[in-house]
Amino acid sequence: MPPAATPVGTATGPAVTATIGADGGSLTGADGRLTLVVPPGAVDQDTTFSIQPIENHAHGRIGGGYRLRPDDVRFAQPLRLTFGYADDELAGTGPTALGAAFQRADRVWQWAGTPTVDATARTVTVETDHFSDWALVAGLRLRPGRATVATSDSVALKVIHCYAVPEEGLLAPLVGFRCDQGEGAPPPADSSVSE
Amino acid sequence: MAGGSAATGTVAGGAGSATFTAPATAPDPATVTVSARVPRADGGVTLLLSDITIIQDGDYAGTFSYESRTFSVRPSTIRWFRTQDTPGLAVYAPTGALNLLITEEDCEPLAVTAPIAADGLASLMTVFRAAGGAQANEYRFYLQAEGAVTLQCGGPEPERDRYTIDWNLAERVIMAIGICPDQPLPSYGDEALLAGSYSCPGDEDNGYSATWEFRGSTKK
Repeated sequence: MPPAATPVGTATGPAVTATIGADGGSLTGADGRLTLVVPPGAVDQDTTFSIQPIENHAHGRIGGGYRLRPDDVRFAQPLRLTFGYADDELAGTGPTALGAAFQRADRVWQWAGTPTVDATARTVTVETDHFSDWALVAGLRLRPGRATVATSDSVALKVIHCYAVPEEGLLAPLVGFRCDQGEGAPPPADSSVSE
Repeated sequence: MAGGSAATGTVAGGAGSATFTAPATAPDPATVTVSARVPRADGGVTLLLSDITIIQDGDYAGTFSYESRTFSVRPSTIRWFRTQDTPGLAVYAPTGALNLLITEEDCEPLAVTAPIAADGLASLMTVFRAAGGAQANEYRFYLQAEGAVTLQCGGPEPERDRYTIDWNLAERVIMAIGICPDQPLPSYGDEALLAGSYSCPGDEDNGYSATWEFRGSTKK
């Protein structure tokens, strides 16, 4: 099963901008759910950074998406992106399954490095050296995340990987598969489900 | 892979998938959490959680929210028990608690959890079935809280007196979805899912809006 490219998200609001130079700085999106921290030395001159809310088409998406600019700069030091979430957004997943993804030029979503999850503060932080469209995502889901069943009735549960290594290469990065309605990538054989 | 109990439901299955079977009697609380443990490459475990609400066949369960000038209901879990069942319509009585935020003018906001008046005249849901005539596939519902609270009001502008208001929830918190003039009743395509939103501009400042999602069993 190939990774699934998605449409590019349409802007849903105005961008928040800030000019940040070689000394570094930070910028928080208008909804307060994404903060980017630019460390000293990441850019060598005053640069306009922006965060714009967009539709989130990412696989395993949680909340809205964000268009981060500039997208034509490779930062000399990694920037830190911290996404916030709410507990009621985690139906079928959990804090340890969260991460961030960005949309590549081929419109495939790629898992971004190793996230740091603070379940108390309800934040997920990743580092990046480039910008594009970004989103908070769940790497795995247990479907259905919520269900209502009658007494003595049954419901089938399945672990679905939203991000996995594509079939063509073990060294390839994790990329997104349809998992919000569909099948996702095959789960590993040793996952287990219990009450 | 196996888990659970006869009282709360059981889980059985193989790697990556399982089947949850609900108990013969709805548990209290009605929602149980099923977890999946997925090993990670770093030796840790990713924990995935799914909430499953168990209802008697024919009933509904879900969440309700409401906004008005004097109070709001933050997402609250409600179960609807069927009390009447005919080919044309079914009637349900609610149970649960409302997460209220009272915002009476000149008073300090007060958050309180109040039970739903399950036997109140203003607490019921009517679901019209396909054989329900002109109202086929439509429904309406009413929710009423019970209890009373005291609001702290007035002060501290220059020498303003403080005073209290006894707020009777049964009189003040009555929410009627589907009675707004010139507005259609909520409707459904699948009787197992009653979900939607409803806004009523009202007169002067008594407008309100509500959102809800009530799910029934797949056996409907």
